[in-house]
Amino acid sequence: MPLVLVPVLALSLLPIGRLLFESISVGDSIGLSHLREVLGRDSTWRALRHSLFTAGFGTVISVILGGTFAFLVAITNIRAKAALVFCLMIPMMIPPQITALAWTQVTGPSSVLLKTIGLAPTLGSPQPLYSAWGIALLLGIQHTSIVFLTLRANLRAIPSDLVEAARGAGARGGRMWLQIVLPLCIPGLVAGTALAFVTALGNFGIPAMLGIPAGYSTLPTLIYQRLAGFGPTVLSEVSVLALLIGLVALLGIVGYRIVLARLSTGLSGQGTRALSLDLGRARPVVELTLWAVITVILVLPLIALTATSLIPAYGLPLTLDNMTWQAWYEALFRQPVTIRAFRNSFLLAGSAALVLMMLCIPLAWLSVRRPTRLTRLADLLADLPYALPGVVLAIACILLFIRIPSTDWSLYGTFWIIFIAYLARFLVVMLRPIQSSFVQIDPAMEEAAQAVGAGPMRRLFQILLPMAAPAAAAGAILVFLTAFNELTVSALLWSSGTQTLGVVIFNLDDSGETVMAAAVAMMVVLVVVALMGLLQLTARRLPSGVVPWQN
Amino acid sequence: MAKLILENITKRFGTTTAVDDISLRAKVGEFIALLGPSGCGKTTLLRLIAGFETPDSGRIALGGQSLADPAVGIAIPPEDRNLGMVFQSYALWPHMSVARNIAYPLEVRRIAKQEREARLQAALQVTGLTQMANRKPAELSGGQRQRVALARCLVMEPQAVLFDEPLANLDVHLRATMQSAFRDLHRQTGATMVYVTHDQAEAMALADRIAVMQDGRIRQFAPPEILHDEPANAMVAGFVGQGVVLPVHAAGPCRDGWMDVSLGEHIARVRSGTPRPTHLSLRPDGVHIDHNGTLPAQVTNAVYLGGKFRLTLQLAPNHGGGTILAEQRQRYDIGDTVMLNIQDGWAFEDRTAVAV
Repeated sequence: MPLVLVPVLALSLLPIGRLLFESISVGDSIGLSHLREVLGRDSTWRALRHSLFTAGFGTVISVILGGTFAFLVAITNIRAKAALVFCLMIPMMIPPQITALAWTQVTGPSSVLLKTIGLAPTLGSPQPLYSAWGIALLLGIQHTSIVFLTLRANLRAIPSDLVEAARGAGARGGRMWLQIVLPLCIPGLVAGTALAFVTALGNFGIPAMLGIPAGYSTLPTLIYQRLAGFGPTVLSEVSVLALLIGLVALLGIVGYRIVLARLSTGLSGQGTRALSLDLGRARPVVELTLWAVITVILVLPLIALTATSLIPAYGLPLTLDNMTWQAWYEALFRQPVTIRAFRNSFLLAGSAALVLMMLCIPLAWLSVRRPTRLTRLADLLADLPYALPGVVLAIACILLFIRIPSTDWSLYGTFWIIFIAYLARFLVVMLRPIQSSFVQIDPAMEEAAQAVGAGPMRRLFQILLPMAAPAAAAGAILVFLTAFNELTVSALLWSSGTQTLGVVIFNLDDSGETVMAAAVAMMVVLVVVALMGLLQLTARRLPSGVVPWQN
Repeated sequence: MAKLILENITKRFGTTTAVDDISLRAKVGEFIALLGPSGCGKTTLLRLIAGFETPDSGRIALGGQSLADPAVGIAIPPEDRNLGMVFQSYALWPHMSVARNIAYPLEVRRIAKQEREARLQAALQVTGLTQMANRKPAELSGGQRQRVALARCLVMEPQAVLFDEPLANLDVHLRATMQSAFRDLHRQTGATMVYVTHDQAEAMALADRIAVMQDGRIRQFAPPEILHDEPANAMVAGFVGQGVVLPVHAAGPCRDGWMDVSLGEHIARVRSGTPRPTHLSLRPDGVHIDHNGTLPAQVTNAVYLGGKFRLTLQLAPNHGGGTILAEQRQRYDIGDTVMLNIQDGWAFEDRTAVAV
C-alpha cells in the first residue's frame, strides 16, 4: 500500500469510527443506554425540529435567490456577470458568525446604522433576527451561492441547439421552458438544494449568534451548550447528538445521490454554444433588480458592520465627529486576545494549507495515474469529514484525542487537535483541484520526460509540479480561506490560548464587546475578499472548476 | 543506431491479450512501421519497447543489450533506455520555452553548457526553429510543435526513435510536409525507427518494412511493395491497398509464379506462390472494363473520385457472387452490366480466414 494513503485513510476514518463506537458504549462495555437516554429527551427532538425548520426554510430562500440569479446570469445577456457572481459569492466565503453579526447591526434597537439615520426602534424593542425566521433568513442568504453555482453549471451545459430544436418542432414560450429547459436543469436544482440543506443543517455560527440569545437551540448549538456544561457522561451524550445530526446529513446526501442518479440526463455541454436569451428592453430593469438584491444582502450588512466598528462606544450613533479607528487599533495592536487569534488563525490555516498540499500532490497523482481499489476508497472517504457537519468532526476529534489510547497524552486543549481536525476537514478542498489538474495534464508529458532520461524526482520537480502548481496554489488559497473562516470545529475544540478569529468574534460579541467584534469581523472580511480577488486574478491559468465561482 | 530485437513478447491487460507472442527484428538503421486497425496492439507494442509497459513474457533487446526480459528479471526503466519518442500529442512541456524543451534531454544528462548550446543550435537549425527558440509551445502551430518534438528527440542522439501516431493531429497538407521531415531525419541520423500508424499510405510512404498487426499478432512483416503485391493472408490483402478478397480454387498448377484459378465458372490467370490457393486479392488497377472481357458483372455503386469513377461491381452467383472494385474514367449507371478482364491478381493460401 502506498504510504501516502495511510494518513488519508486515518484522517477520514478514525474520527468518525471513534464517534460511532462512543455513542454505543458506556464505560467499557458496549450498550445502548446513552442512546436511549439522549433520544428520550424532549430537548433533543426540539433541537432537531429547530434544525430541520431553520435549514429547511433557509434552503427555500437559497433556492429562490440562487435559482433566480443562476437563470439570469447563466442564460441571459445581462452585463457585468463576473462582478455580479463575485459579489454573490462573498456571503458564502465570509464566516457565518460575521454574517450574523453584520445583520444584527442592520436591524434592531442598537443598530448604529439606524441610529445614525434616525430610524432605530426604541430601546428595549426586540431584535427581530433573534428568532427562528431570522436564523432561516441568514442561513438562506449564506448558502445562496451553493444553489447558484450548481444550477448555473447545469444551465451552462445545456446546448442551445436543444432549445433551437424544440422551437423548430413548434414549442414556444412556456411550453419550451417547462418541457425542455426545466427537466434538463432539475439535476442541478436537486443537487444545489440538497447541498444547501446539508450545509445549513451543519451551520453553527448563525444559530449560535442569533439563537442562543433567544433561547432557540438547533442541534449544533445544543451540542455546544452541552459540551460547555461538562459532567462525567457529557462526551457520550454529545456524541449521540453528533451522530444524530450526522445521520440526518447523511440521509440528505445519500438521498440526493439516489435522486440524481435517476435524473441524470447525460448532458455533456461540449462543442456547442450555451443557451443565450436576449432580454431586450427588460435588461436594465433586470440588472438594476439584481444589483439591488446584492446591495441588500451584501453591501448593507457590511456598511452596518463597518459603522459599528467605527464608533467609540456601543450605543452611540456614528457621526463625522466621533468616528474613530480605536477598535481596529485595539484589536490589531493592543488586545492580546485578538492579536493571538490573528496569529492562531493565520498559523492554523497556513500550515493546514501547506501540509495538505504536500499530502495531496502524491495522493492526487496516485488516484489519477495509478488508480486501484484502495485509492478509490481513499478518494471516497476524503469527502466524509467535509460533507458531514463540522460539529460531528469536532466531537469525533475530541473523543479520539482527549486521551490517546495506552498513553497519558491528551491533545485536547492544544493546537494540534484543531490542526488535525482541519487536515481531515479540508483534505478534499485541496485534493479536488490538484486531481482535476492532473486529469488535464497529458500523461505523455511525464512519459516524454521519462523517455529523454529524467528520473522520478526530476520529473516531479521539473515537469509535474510546475504544471500542477497553479491548481495546487489555488487549492492552498481555498483551504486557507475556508480554514481562516472556520468556526464550527474550533468553537468546540478551542481552549485558552488557542482561540481562532472565529471564536474570538463570537466571544467578543457574546460578552458585549460588539464594537471590537465588528472591527475584527471587518478585518476578516477584508482578508477574505483580498484572497478571493487573488484567486479571481489567477483563474484564467487554472484548470476549470478550481475556482468555485468560475466556469 | 542499433539492432532492435523482440522475442516472443506477450502483454496482457486483465483478460485481454494486447500483444500475443510477437517476435520481430529490425536491422540497424531500419525504418519499421507498425500498421493496423485501432485496438490491434501496435501502440502497446511501442510502449513495451519504450519501457512504459513491461512484457509478461519475452525479451526486448536493443544494440545487443537486453531492455526487458522478465524471465531473468531485467526491466530497464524508460529513462535509461536512450530511446527518442515522438508522441501523438507532441507532449511539449507548456511551462518551458522551445529551447528548454529541446535542450532538456541534455540538461538531464548533465552535458556541459557549451556543448549543450551547440547541440541545441544544431537541432534548431535542422528543424528550422531557430526563430522560435524563445517561444512557449502554446504560441506555436501544430506543425511547429511537431518539429519541436522531433528536435527534442534528435538532440539526444538516441539509439532508436519511436513514433506514436505523430501525424494524427495534423491536417492533410501538413502531414505530407512532416512525412518528408521524418524521412530527412532518418537519412541524416541513420537511427533505427519504429513508427506506429493506422494510416497505410503513411506507413507505405515512410517505412522500409511494415508489420501489419491484428488482434495482438503480426499478420505480415514485409516491405511495402510486397504487402501490396503479395499479401500473405486475407486480412493484409483487405487492409492494405484498396483491394477486395475473393475465395478461389486452383484450376491448374503453379508455374513460374503464375497459375489459373477459378472464380465459379470463370478462370483467371493470376500471380501466385502456392499450389493450393484459397483466396484471390484483386486491386482496382488489376481489373479492367473491356468490351472483349469475359467476366460479366453488374454495377451496384459508382462514386466519382476526381478524374475517375470508383465502381462497385457484383459478380453473378455462378462466378462466385463476390464484390469487386474497379476504376474507370467513363460514367456507368447503377444497374448497368459490364464485361471485365482480370489483368492482375495475387492468389494465396489462408485457411484461417473467415469466408469473405
